[in-house]
Amino acid sequence: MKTMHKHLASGLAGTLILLALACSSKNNNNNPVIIGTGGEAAATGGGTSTTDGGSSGTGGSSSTNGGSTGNGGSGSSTGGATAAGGACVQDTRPCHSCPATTSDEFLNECTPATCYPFDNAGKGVPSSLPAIP
Amino acid sequence: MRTKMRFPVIRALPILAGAACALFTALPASAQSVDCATLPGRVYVAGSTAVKPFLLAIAKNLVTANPPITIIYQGQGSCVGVNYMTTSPAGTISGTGTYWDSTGSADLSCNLTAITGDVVDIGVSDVFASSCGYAADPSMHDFYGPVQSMTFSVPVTSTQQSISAEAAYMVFGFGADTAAHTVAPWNDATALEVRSASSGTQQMISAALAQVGSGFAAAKVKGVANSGSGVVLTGLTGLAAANNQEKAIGFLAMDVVDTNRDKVRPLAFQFKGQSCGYMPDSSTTAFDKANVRDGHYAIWGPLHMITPSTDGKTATNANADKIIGYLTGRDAPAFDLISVEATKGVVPDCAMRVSRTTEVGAMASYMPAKSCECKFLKAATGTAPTDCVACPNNTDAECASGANKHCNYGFCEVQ
Repeated sequence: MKTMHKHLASGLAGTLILLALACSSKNNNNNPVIIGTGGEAAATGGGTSTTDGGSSGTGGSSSTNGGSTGNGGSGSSTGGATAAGGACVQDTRPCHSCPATTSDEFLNECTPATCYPFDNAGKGVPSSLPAIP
Repeated sequence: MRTKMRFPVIRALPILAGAACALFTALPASAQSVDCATLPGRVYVAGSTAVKPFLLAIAKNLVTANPPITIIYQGQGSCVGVNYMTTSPAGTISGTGTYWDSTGSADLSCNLTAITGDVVDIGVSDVFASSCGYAADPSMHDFYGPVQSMTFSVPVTSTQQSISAEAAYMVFGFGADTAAHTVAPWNDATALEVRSASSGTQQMISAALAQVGSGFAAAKVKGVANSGSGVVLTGLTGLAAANNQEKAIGFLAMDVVDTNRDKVRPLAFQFKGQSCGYMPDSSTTAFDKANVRDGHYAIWGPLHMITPSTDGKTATNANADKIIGYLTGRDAPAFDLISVEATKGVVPDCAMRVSRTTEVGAMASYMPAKSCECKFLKAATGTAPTDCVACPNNTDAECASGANKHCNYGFCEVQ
């Protein structure tokens, strides 16, 4: 996978223009492939989350309007493997679509990689963590 | 050997225990016929156990170099390795050393010098010396090698997919001591396969978890303390065999995971401020370390190779300097080191796109002076990405028409 940094470093004016347009809004919906807690679904490429959790994919396409380009999603490798009752979550969270410069931005930068949300509240993790004795 | 220690204990105790444990394991288990001193081009390396799979792969190539270099290794935990380098001359190892022949197919044993031991040439650590509470002697220099990522790993039969920093803080900080401190399904402290405070794996993970709450430290981790990565692996597979795969979870370096994908897999890790969890690789079956290289996976750091150096650029020991030169990327070895690194679960600096200077600290955008991203990905995954353009004759002219003008390692790279 080639990163956005690589494209930036190449100095292509066209890329920079596209970036500037994409970055006119800090966040967009070009989100990573999100896998729900119950199963693993096939990816269809950067920015698209599957909703049925069971269909197989063929690899996915690169994102085009986000901060990262790549060789597609990762769905084909495990496509269709779904745990009982599992369903993929349609992700609604934004990802960082501009070139990242801070840790928070790197951690949340748009990517075609598969991600797995952990629901702290749903799992009973206290919102205010107690100190370790 | 498997230690059944319960934490918390004072900070220094686990480190001393780790050293004692390592000394015990270093004692000859059977009659030895080879003296380490007879091996050619000896370099004594001690410390991280997590580095062993990668070190083995390097060692079997170096032993065929001309002249040959033999790595004699004792895996004792990263902080033990750092501790050796806090004095000048460095500390000594005794008992039995491990070395490898050109096949690397088995650990070979040799007898270290009796009584006085042998001075450690390179202390290897997965974490900064400061994370162990030490400062290397001023005559030493900390050279950075390939990037290692540390994971929360589970048996392959577990259905768990991710863990957040907050959840891990509760699981490993309290060990399910009360219902209020329990996060399902990791509700049994005897199923938490951890290391000790002398372990770089545990230190790095603790550095991450300490960022989400108060008081978390490597010496306070709850669970079953294991003397090495291999024992953690054994513990996890044993739990799975007993049908306890859901509550089984342990600390493992990614190079250990990658060489045991049939037994364990890493959970996606959702760090503080992160909206979703990521594995080191882009998917469960990938080997691309994409999320380490671009900063989506948080728990990573360079291998630290601490060795005597007068100029901060070269190691005093000539053979140690060859190893340092190769692993820092300063010198090009005769063998394909990038492929070795890619297939052993670590990432060479030339394939990284983020950097950091402190333990699980702030990340910055990074572009190495001579990128090897395409070469790394081809070696790691078997196929170069479609946007990687090959330059088989290794000339920049082959890259003239594309966006990436520099031919590095057979592919056109940005620089």
